[in-house]
Amino acid sequence: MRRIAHIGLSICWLTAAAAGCAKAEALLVLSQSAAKLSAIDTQSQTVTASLQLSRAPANMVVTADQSLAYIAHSDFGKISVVDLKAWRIDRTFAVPGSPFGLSVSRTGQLFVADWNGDQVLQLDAATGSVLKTVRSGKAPAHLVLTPDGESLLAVARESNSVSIFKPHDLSEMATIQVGKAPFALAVSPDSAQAAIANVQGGSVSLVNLRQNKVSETIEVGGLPYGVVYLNGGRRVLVSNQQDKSISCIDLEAGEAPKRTKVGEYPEGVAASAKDGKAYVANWFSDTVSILDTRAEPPRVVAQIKVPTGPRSVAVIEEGPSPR
Amino acid sequence: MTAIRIALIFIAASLVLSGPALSHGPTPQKAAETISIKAAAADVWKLVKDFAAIGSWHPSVTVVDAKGGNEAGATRTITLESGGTLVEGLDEYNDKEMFYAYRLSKEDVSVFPVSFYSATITVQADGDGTTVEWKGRFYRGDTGNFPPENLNDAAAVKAMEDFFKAGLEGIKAKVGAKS
Repeated sequence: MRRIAHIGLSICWLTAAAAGCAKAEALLVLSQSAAKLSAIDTQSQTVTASLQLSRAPANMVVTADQSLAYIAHSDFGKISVVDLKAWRIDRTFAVPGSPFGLSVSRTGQLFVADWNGDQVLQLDAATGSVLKTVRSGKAPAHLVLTPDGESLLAVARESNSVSIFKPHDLSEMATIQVGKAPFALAVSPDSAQAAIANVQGGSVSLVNLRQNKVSETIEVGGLPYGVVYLNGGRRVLVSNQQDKSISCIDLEAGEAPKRTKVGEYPEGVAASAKDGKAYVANWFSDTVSILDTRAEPPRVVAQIKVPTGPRSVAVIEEGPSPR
Repeated sequence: MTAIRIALIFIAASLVLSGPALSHGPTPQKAAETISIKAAAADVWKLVKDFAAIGSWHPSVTVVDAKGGNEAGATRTITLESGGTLVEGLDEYNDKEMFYAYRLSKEDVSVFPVSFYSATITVQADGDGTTVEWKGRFYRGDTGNFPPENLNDAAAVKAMEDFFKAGLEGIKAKVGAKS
């Protein structure tokens, strides 16, 4: 399967110069109120495709091969699976409880946080059938697999904790207290550290994943809701809903992070590995801010209008090619 | 009297510090209301600026018990006309730019069907007049997947919009009465 994907990419690469097959990077934007998934060409900064979804899509995750997006309709116990190349809804799953946090493995498992059920589910990513469940802390929000695939981290907003599970059997390896009301998290590319945004605490907890303990707590802006690593793990970008800003933490400098104003109630954040751009979904403004993170502090270079209520963003190497 | 007040403050503080069961849910909603007032922005801000002063202009607020002034971290316990109280905490205060931002720190969904909100009220000069804008992000009263009608998204949106509208009309009326 993976080999086929590689061959596909190689063909594209070989014919790129001759046939104009150069990959056009795209930003996926999930809008809760409009119930739309949009694709934005990051070069032209225009919306190139838009897909109507069923009601109240709250969160999404993209597979490692970037072929599919899994989208949680938390209020309706449903997950939509979008084929990103064909740009259509491929299938939907009924899922117990209020699915919110999502992460998908390279080995065909989809992990889901059930917000109201205080549990984490392991599903067959192809069929949606529930394979395993485990109790989590109260109100599990986002969850993420470490890049090495060895651990699954789920933050529990009302338990002020992060739990670490073995992905294959969901056995619990550790539960660590972090700041108040953790919601979003990210893991460094080397799988050694997690950055956890504590909404009510106005802080980011850095968790050492070799020792399973909090190594540092860094004050950011009010109500941090989104977090992503930049520069191969050297910096962390956090969105602060309350003060309409992002904070950029330089993990080596150890200084108080500088803030950059973005739109209103920023939430989801994503970064391009290619050109140092980062993207912030401004939930209240119905815009996405494009940041140049090579500037210090990062600087807003554009704001794009998107369908109402954008919450989640993801960068993919090649945009959809709907027929 | 003083003893009672201290006791009340202690109770309010302990409710905040013990971390009440504020429920957030996975799907937020938004509300935004504005009003135009024929008065100088400085005069409107003078009325609105104190975090503790909401009772003087909001017709649905009968009693305010506040502490901490206009510093981030200040709290106000507001008693609603319908009975019941909400506790709110001040997050950000900007006298120069004429806005303040606050959040709900103790809900009462039986009188106000919203389980959590954060909101900002902003006063802006607009020609000779003033625009006051009130915006909030919030979650329905019952964040489960099968909320009763009185605690669903529509009820929460209506409660927030009605509260903002009534407050903005209250500001307009109060400023008008003065000038």
